[in-house]
Amino acid sequence: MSTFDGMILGVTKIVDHGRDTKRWNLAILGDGYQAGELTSYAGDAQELANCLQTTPPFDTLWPAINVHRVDVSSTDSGADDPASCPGGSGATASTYFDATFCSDQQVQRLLTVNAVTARNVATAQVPQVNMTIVIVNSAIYGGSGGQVAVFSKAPGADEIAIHEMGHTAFGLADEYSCFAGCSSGETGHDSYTGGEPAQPNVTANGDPATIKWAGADRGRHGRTHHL
Amino acid sequence: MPEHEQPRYALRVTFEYEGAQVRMISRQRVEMTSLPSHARDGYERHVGFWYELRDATNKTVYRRVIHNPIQADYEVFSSEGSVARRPIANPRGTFEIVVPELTGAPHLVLYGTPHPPTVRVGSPSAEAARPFVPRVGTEPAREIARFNLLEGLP
Repeated sequence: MSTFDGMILGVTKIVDHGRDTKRWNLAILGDGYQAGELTSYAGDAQELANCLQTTPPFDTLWPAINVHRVDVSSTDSGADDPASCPGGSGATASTYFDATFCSDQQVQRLLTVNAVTARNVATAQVPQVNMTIVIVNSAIYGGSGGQVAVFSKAPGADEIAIHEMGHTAFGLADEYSCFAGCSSGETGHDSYTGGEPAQPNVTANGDPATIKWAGADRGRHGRTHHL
Repeated sequence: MPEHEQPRYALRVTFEYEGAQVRMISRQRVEMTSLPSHARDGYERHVGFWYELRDATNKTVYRRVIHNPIQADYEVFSSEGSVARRPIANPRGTFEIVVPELTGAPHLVLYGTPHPPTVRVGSPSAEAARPFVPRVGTEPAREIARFNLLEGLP
Protein backbone atom coordinates (compact mmCIF):
# COMPACT_ATOMS: atom_id res chain seq x y z
CA MET A 1 0.00 0.00 0.00
CA SER A 2 1.71 3.11 -1.21
CA THR A 3 1.75 5.77 -3.90
CA PHE A 4 1.58 2.90 -6.41
CA ASP A 5 -1.99 2.44 -5.22
CA GLY A 6 -3.47 5.45 -6.91
CA MET A 7 -2.62 8.67 -8.65
CA ILE A 8 -2.68 12.43 -8.28
CA LEU A 9 -5.22 13.92 -10.66
CA GLY A 10 -4.89 17.63 -9.99
CA VAL A 11 -5.82 20.49 -7.72
CA THR A 12 -8.82 22.84 -7.57
CA LYS A 13 -9.01 26.01 -5.53
CA ILE A 14 -12.42 25.71 -3.89
CA VAL A 15 -12.15 28.86 -1.79
CA ASP A 16 -10.41 31.69 -3.59
CA HIS A 17 -9.76 34.92 -1.75
CA GLY A 18 -6.84 36.02 -3.88
CA ARG A 19 -3.30 35.12 -4.79
CA ASP A 20 -1.88 32.19 -2.87
CA THR A 21 1.26 34.19 -2.18
CA LYS A 22 -0.79 36.57 -0.05
CA ARG A 23 -3.11 34.14 1.70
CA TRP A 24 -3.04 31.36 4.30
CA ASN A 25 -3.46 28.18 2.28
CA LEU A 26 -5.16 25.01 3.37
CA ALA A 27 -4.67 21.88 1.25
CA ILE A 28 -7.29 19.16 1.53
CA LEU A 29 -6.33 15.69 0.34
CA GLY A 30 -8.46 12.57 0.13
CA ASP A 31 -7.47 8.97 0.75
CA GLY A 32 -9.34 5.78 0.01
CA TYR A 33 -11.47 7.36 -2.71
CA GLN A 34 -11.54 5.39 -5.92
CA ALA A 35 -11.67 7.36 -9.16
CA GLY A 36 -15.43 6.88 -9.31
CA GLU A 37 -15.81 8.32 -5.80
CA LEU A 38 -14.07 11.62 -6.43
CA THR A 39 -17.35 13.47 -6.85
CA SER A 40 -18.21 12.35 -3.35
CA TYR A 41 -14.77 13.52 -2.23
CA ALA A 42 -15.35 16.93 -3.77
CA GLY A 43 -18.53 17.18 -1.72
CA ASP A 44 -16.71 16.16 1.45
CA ALA A 45 -13.99 18.76 0.88
CA GLN A 46 -16.56 21.45 0.22
CA GLU A 47 -18.43 20.46 3.37
CA LEU A 48 -15.25 20.94 5.39
CA ALA A 49 -14.68 24.34 3.80
CA ASN A 50 -18.27 25.33 4.60
CA CYS A 51 -17.82 24.16 8.17
CA LEU A 52 -14.68 26.26 8.59
CA GLN A 53 -16.37 29.28 7.12
CA THR A 54 -18.95 29.29 9.89
CA THR A 55 -16.67 28.29 12.77
CA PRO A 56 -14.98 30.93 14.93
CA PRO A 57 -12.30 32.17 14.52
CA PHE A 58 -12.13 31.04 10.89
CA ASP A 59 -15.32 32.92 10.09
CA THR A 60 -13.81 36.32 10.76
CA LEU A 61 -10.50 35.35 9.18
CA TRP A 62 -12.14 33.77 6.17
CA PRO A 63 -11.03 36.42 3.65
CA ALA A 64 -7.40 35.59 4.46
CA ILE A 65 -7.81 31.88 3.70
CA ASN A 66 -7.65 29.95 0.44
CA VAL A 67 -8.69 26.31 0.33
CA HIS A 68 -7.36 23.87 -2.24
CA ARG A 69 -8.76 20.44 -2.99
CA VAL A 70 -6.15 18.01 -4.25
CA ASP A 71 -7.73 15.12 -6.13
CA VAL A 72 -6.02 11.80 -5.49
CA SER A 73 -7.53 8.47 -6.47
CA SER A 74 -6.80 5.21 -4.69
CA THR A 75 -6.92 1.64 -5.91
CA ASP A 76 -9.34 0.64 -3.16
CA SER A 77 -12.05 2.38 -1.24
CA GLY A 78 -11.75 2.93 2.52
CA ALA A 79 -8.87 2.27 4.88
CA ASP A 80 -7.13 -0.56 6.68
CA ASP A 81 -9.00 -1.65 9.80
CA PRO A 82 -6.88 -4.36 11.43
CA ALA A 83 -8.76 -7.27 13.00
CA SER A 84 -6.09 -7.45 15.70
CA CYS A 85 -7.48 -4.21 17.10
CA PRO A 86 -10.56 -4.22 19.36
CA GLY A 87 -13.48 -3.47 17.07
CA GLY A 88 -11.45 -3.88 13.92
CA SER A 89 -13.18 -5.48 10.93
CA GLY A 90 -10.04 -6.84 9.29
CA ALA A 91 -10.64 -4.78 6.15
CA THR A 92 -7.64 -3.91 4.05
CA ALA A 93 -7.51 -1.21 1.40
CA SER A 94 -4.73 -0.27 -0.98
CA THR A 95 -4.71 3.52 -0.82
CA TYR A 96 -2.38 6.29 -1.90
CA PHE A 97 -1.63 7.63 1.58
CA ASP A 98 -1.98 4.27 3.32
CA ALA A 99 -4.77 5.28 5.71
CA THR A 100 -4.95 2.94 8.69
CA PHE A 101 -7.17 2.73 11.73
CA CYS A 102 -5.66 1.50 14.98
CA SER A 103 -2.21 2.84 14.24
CA ASP A 104 -1.02 2.06 17.73
CA GLN A 105 -2.48 -1.47 17.56
CA GLN A 106 -4.75 -0.60 20.47
CA VAL A 107 -7.30 2.08 19.66
CA GLN A 108 -9.36 1.70 16.52
CA ARG A 109 -10.26 5.37 16.18
CA LEU A 110 -6.59 6.34 15.90
CA LEU A 111 -6.60 6.85 12.14
CA THR A 112 -3.36 7.94 10.48
CA VAL A 113 -1.86 8.25 7.02
CA ASN A 114 1.67 8.44 5.68
CA ALA A 115 2.22 12.06 6.73
CA VAL A 116 5.43 12.49 4.75
CA THR A 117 3.72 11.50 1.51
CA ALA A 118 0.73 13.70 2.30
CA ARG A 119 2.90 16.72 2.99
CA ASN A 120 5.01 16.13 -0.11
CA VAL A 121 1.93 15.92 -2.31
CA ALA A 122 0.43 19.02 -0.71
CA THR A 123 3.62 21.01 -1.18
CA ALA A 124 3.98 19.91 -4.80
CA GLN A 125 0.37 20.77 -5.66
CA VAL A 126 0.05 23.89 -3.50
CA PRO A 127 3.53 25.42 -3.08
CA GLN A 128 2.26 28.01 -0.58
CA VAL A 129 0.49 25.44 1.58
CA ASN A 130 0.33 26.27 5.29
CA MET A 131 -1.58 23.24 6.47
CA THR A 132 -2.55 19.83 5.13
CA ILE A 133 -5.67 17.90 6.02
CA VAL A 134 -6.54 14.41 4.80
CA ILE A 135 -10.13 13.18 4.60
CA VAL A 136 -10.32 9.39 4.70
CA ASN A 137 -13.20 7.77 2.88
CA SER A 138 -14.58 5.68 5.71
CA ALA A 139 -17.74 5.83 7.81
CA ILE A 140 -15.83 4.56 10.86
CA TYR A 141 -15.08 7.35 13.32
CA GLY A 142 -11.41 8.19 13.46
CA GLY A 143 -8.68 10.71 13.08
CA SER A 144 -5.41 12.02 14.42
CA GLY A 145 -3.47 15.21 14.90
CA GLY A 146 -0.03 16.43 14.10
CA GLN A 147 1.28 18.55 11.27
CA VAL A 148 -0.98 16.58 8.93
CA ALA A 149 -4.48 16.28 10.36
CA VAL A 150 -6.54 13.22 9.44
CA PHE A 151 -10.23 12.52 9.86
CA SER A 152 -12.84 10.15 8.50
CA LYS A 153 -16.31 10.83 7.12
CA ALA A 154 -18.06 9.75 10.30
CA PRO A 155 -20.36 12.37 11.81
CA GLY A 156 -18.43 14.76 14.01
CA ALA A 157 -15.01 13.71 12.80
CA ASP A 158 -14.53 17.06 11.07
CA GLU A 159 -14.12 18.53 14.57
CA ILE A 160 -10.69 16.92 14.48
CA ALA A 161 -9.72 19.11 11.54
CA ILE A 162 -10.90 22.23 13.33
CA HIS A 163 -9.06 21.24 16.48
CA GLU A 164 -5.82 20.69 14.58
CA MET A 165 -6.15 23.93 12.69
CA GLY A 166 -6.25 25.69 16.05
CA HIS A 167 -2.78 24.30 16.69
CA THR A 168 -1.35 24.85 13.24
CA ALA A 169 -2.95 28.09 12.17
CA PHE A 170 -2.93 29.88 15.50
CA GLY A 171 -0.40 28.04 17.66
CA LEU A 172 -3.07 27.40 20.29
CA ALA A 173 -2.51 24.98 23.14
CA ASP A 174 -4.88 22.18 24.04
CA GLU A 175 -7.52 22.95 26.62
CA TYR A 176 -8.22 19.40 27.71
CA SER A 177 -9.85 18.66 31.02
CA CYS A 178 -7.81 15.45 31.23
CA PHE A 179 -4.73 14.08 29.55
CA ALA A 180 -5.48 10.43 28.95
CA GLY A 181 -9.26 10.66 28.99
CA CYS A 182 -11.47 11.62 31.90
CA SER A 183 -12.48 8.02 32.57
CA SER A 184 -8.86 6.95 32.96
CA GLY A 185 -8.66 7.84 36.62
CA GLU A 186 -5.58 9.89 36.01
CA THR A 187 -4.33 12.23 38.69
CA GLY A 188 -2.57 15.56 38.54
CA HIS A 189 -4.48 16.79 35.51
CA ASP A 190 -5.95 19.71 37.41
CA SER A 191 -2.80 21.37 38.65
CA TYR A 192 0.15 23.07 36.98
CA THR A 193 3.37 24.21 38.53
CA GLY A 194 5.52 25.15 35.54
CA GLY A 195 6.44 28.44 33.93
CA GLU A 196 4.30 30.62 31.72
CA PRO A 197 3.23 28.78 28.56
CA ALA A 198 4.23 30.47 25.31
CA GLN A 199 0.90 29.76 23.62
CA PRO A 200 -1.58 32.64 23.57
CA ASN A 201 -4.62 30.82 24.99
CA VAL A 202 -3.25 29.35 28.21
CA THR A 203 -1.51 30.91 31.15
CA ALA A 204 -0.22 30.16 34.61
CA ASN A 205 -1.30 33.61 35.72
CA GLY A 206 -4.56 33.57 37.65
CA ASP A 207 -4.86 37.34 37.96
CA PRO A 208 -7.47 38.65 35.52
CA ALA A 209 -5.96 42.11 35.68
CA THR A 210 -2.58 41.05 34.36
CA ILE A 211 -3.46 37.96 32.39
CA LYS A 212 -2.02 38.07 28.87
CA TRP A 213 -5.38 38.36 27.18
CA ALA A 214 -6.66 40.99 29.61
CA GLY A 215 -8.87 43.38 27.70
CA ALA A 216 -9.03 41.17 24.64
CA ASP A 217 -12.43 40.26 23.24
CA ARG A 218 -12.26 36.49 23.21
CA GLY A 219 -15.97 36.00 23.52
CA ARG A 220 -16.44 34.96 19.93
CA HIS A 221 -13.09 33.38 19.37
CA GLY A 222 -12.72 30.78 22.00
CA ARG A 223 -12.75 29.90 25.60
CA THR A 224 -10.47 31.55 28.08
CA HIS A 225 -8.76 29.09 30.35
CA HIS A 226 -5.76 28.94 32.52
CA LEU A 227 -3.97 25.72 33.24
CA MET B 1 10.58 41.06 11.87
CA PRO B 2 10.45 44.85 11.58
CA GLU B 3 6.90 46.00 11.02
CA HIS B 4 7.71 47.63 7.69
CA GLU B 5 9.45 44.58 6.26
CA GLN B 6 7.22 41.99 4.63
CA PRO B 7 9.49 39.74 2.62
CA ARG B 8 8.20 38.42 -0.66
CA TYR B 9 9.84 35.06 -0.16
CA ALA B 10 9.91 32.54 2.62
CA LEU B 11 11.84 29.38 3.32
CA ARG B 12 10.03 26.14 3.93
CA VAL B 13 12.40 24.23 6.18
CA THR B 14 11.92 20.53 6.81
CA PHE B 15 13.35 18.64 9.77
CA GLU B 16 13.67 15.05 10.77
CA TYR B 17 13.63 14.07 14.42
CA GLU B 18 14.26 11.00 16.45
CA GLY B 19 13.81 11.40 20.18
CA ALA B 20 15.23 14.81 20.98
CA GLN B 21 17.62 14.87 18.01
CA VAL B 22 16.58 17.25 15.22
CA ARG B 23 18.20 17.40 11.80
CA MET B 24 17.44 19.83 8.98
CA ILE B 25 16.84 17.87 5.79
CA SER B 26 15.68 20.49 3.27
CA ARG B 27 15.11 24.17 2.57
CA GLN B 28 12.83 25.37 -0.17
CA ARG B 29 12.48 29.01 -1.22
CA VAL B 30 8.84 29.86 -1.85
CA GLU B 31 7.09 33.06 -2.81
CA MET B 32 4.63 33.30 0.05
CA THR B 33 3.63 35.41 2.99
CA SER B 34 5.03 34.43 6.35
CA LEU B 35 3.00 34.81 9.50
CA PRO B 36 3.98 37.84 11.59
CA SER B 37 6.52 37.54 14.36
CA HIS B 38 5.44 36.92 17.90
CA ALA B 39 6.95 38.96 20.73
CA ARG B 40 10.72 39.15 20.48
CA ASP B 41 11.27 39.91 24.13
CA GLY B 42 9.66 39.17 27.47
CA TYR B 43 9.49 35.41 27.01
CA GLU B 44 12.36 34.36 29.22
CA ARG B 45 11.63 31.02 30.94
CA HIS B 46 8.48 30.49 28.92
CA VAL B 47 7.32 26.93 28.34
CA GLY B 48 6.52 25.60 24.87
CA PHE B 49 8.03 25.46 21.42
CA TRP B 50 9.09 28.24 19.10
CA TYR B 51 11.65 29.11 16.48
CA GLU B 52 13.70 32.24 16.01
CA LEU B 53 15.67 33.89 13.27
CA ARG B 54 18.82 35.57 14.57
CA ASP B 55 21.05 38.09 12.91
CA ALA B 56 24.85 38.08 12.87
CA THR B 57 24.93 39.64 16.34
CA ASN B 58 22.64 36.89 17.66
CA LYS B 59 19.74 39.31 18.04
CA THR B 60 16.29 37.77 17.54
CA VAL B 61 14.60 39.41 14.57
CA TYR B 62 11.73 36.95 14.12
CA ARG B 63 10.07 34.52 16.49
CA ARG B 64 7.11 32.24 16.03
CA VAL B 65 5.43 30.09 18.69
CA ILE B 66 4.03 26.84 17.35
CA HIS B 67 2.45 23.70 18.69
CA ASN B 68 5.26 21.30 19.53
CA PRO B 69 5.83 19.40 16.26
CA ILE B 70 7.95 16.74 17.95
CA GLN B 71 5.17 14.33 18.71
CA ALA B 72 5.49 12.34 21.91
CA ASP B 73 1.92 11.12 21.70
CA TYR B 74 -1.09 10.81 19.45
CA GLU B 75 -4.22 12.76 20.09
CA VAL B 76 -7.08 10.30 19.95
CA PHE B 77 -10.52 11.80 19.54
CA SER B 78 -13.85 10.30 20.47
CA SER B 79 -17.16 10.93 18.75
CA GLU B 80 -18.42 12.46 22.02
CA GLY B 81 -15.86 15.22 21.67
CA SER B 82 -13.32 14.14 24.26
CA VAL B 83 -9.63 13.83 23.51
CA ALA B 84 -7.09 11.48 25.02
CA ARG B 85 -3.42 11.00 24.36
CA ARG B 86 -1.64 7.79 23.51
CA PRO B 87 2.10 7.82 24.03
CA ILE B 88 4.35 7.08 21.05
CA ALA B 89 6.92 4.48 22.00
CA ASN B 90 9.77 5.82 19.86
CA PRO B 91 9.06 9.37 18.76
CA ARG B 92 10.41 9.93 15.26
CA GLY B 93 9.15 11.77 12.23
CA THR B 94 9.44 14.94 10.24
CA PHE B 95 8.02 18.42 10.50
CA GLU B 96 8.31 21.66 8.62
CA ILE B 97 8.18 25.34 9.39
CA VAL B 98 7.98 28.44 7.23
CA VAL B 99 10.27 31.36 8.00
CA PRO B 100 10.49 34.71 6.23
CA GLU B 101 13.51 35.20 4.03
CA LEU B 102 15.18 38.02 5.93
CA THR B 103 18.42 39.52 4.76
CA GLY B 104 21.01 39.34 7.46
CA ALA B 105 19.20 36.79 9.62
CA PRO B 106 20.69 33.47 8.61
CA HIS B 107 20.53 31.70 11.95
CA LEU B 108 17.53 29.54 12.74
CA VAL B 109 17.19 28.42 16.34
CA LEU B 110 14.62 25.97 17.65
CA TYR B 111 13.50 26.16 21.27
CA GLY B 112 11.48 23.53 23.02
CA THR B 113 10.39 22.33 26.42
CA PRO B 114 11.45 18.73 26.85
CA HIS B 115 8.71 16.15 26.97
CA PRO B 116 8.52 14.44 30.37
CA PRO B 117 9.17 10.71 30.50
CA THR B 118 6.24 8.78 29.12
CA VAL B 119 3.99 7.37 31.84
CA ARG B 120 1.23 5.14 30.60
CA VAL B 121 -2.08 5.68 32.30
CA GLY B 122 -3.09 2.56 34.14
CA SER B 123 -6.26 1.57 35.90
CA PRO B 124 -8.03 4.16 38.07
CA SER B 125 -6.73 2.50 41.21
CA ALA B 126 -3.19 2.44 39.85
CA GLU B 127 -3.51 6.06 38.91
CA ALA B 128 -4.70 7.01 42.37
CA ALA B 129 -1.66 5.30 43.85
CA ARG B 130 0.83 6.78 41.42
CA PRO B 131 3.02 9.66 42.61
CA PHE B 132 2.27 12.87 40.77
CA VAL B 133 4.44 13.64 37.77
CA PRO B 134 3.47 16.12 35.08
CA ARG B 135 2.37 14.56 31.80
CA VAL B 136 3.25 17.63 29.79
CA GLY B 137 6.51 19.50 29.81
CA THR B 138 6.65 22.25 32.41
CA GLU B 139 10.29 23.34 32.20
CA PRO B 140 11.39 26.52 30.46
CA ALA B 141 12.09 25.93 26.78
CA ARG B 142 15.74 25.49 25.90
CA GLU B 143 17.65 25.63 22.66
CA ILE B 144 17.35 22.25 20.99
CA ALA B 145 18.94 22.95 17.62
CA ARG B 146 20.58 25.73 15.65
CA PHE B 147 21.13 25.93 11.91
CA ASN B 148 22.73 28.31 9.46
CA LEU B 149 20.22 28.71 6.65
CA LEU B 150 22.95 29.82 4.25
CA GLU B 151 25.15 26.82 4.84
CA GLY B 152 25.38 24.48 1.89
CA LEU B 153 23.67 26.87 -0.50
CA PRO B 154 25.42 27.72 -3.77
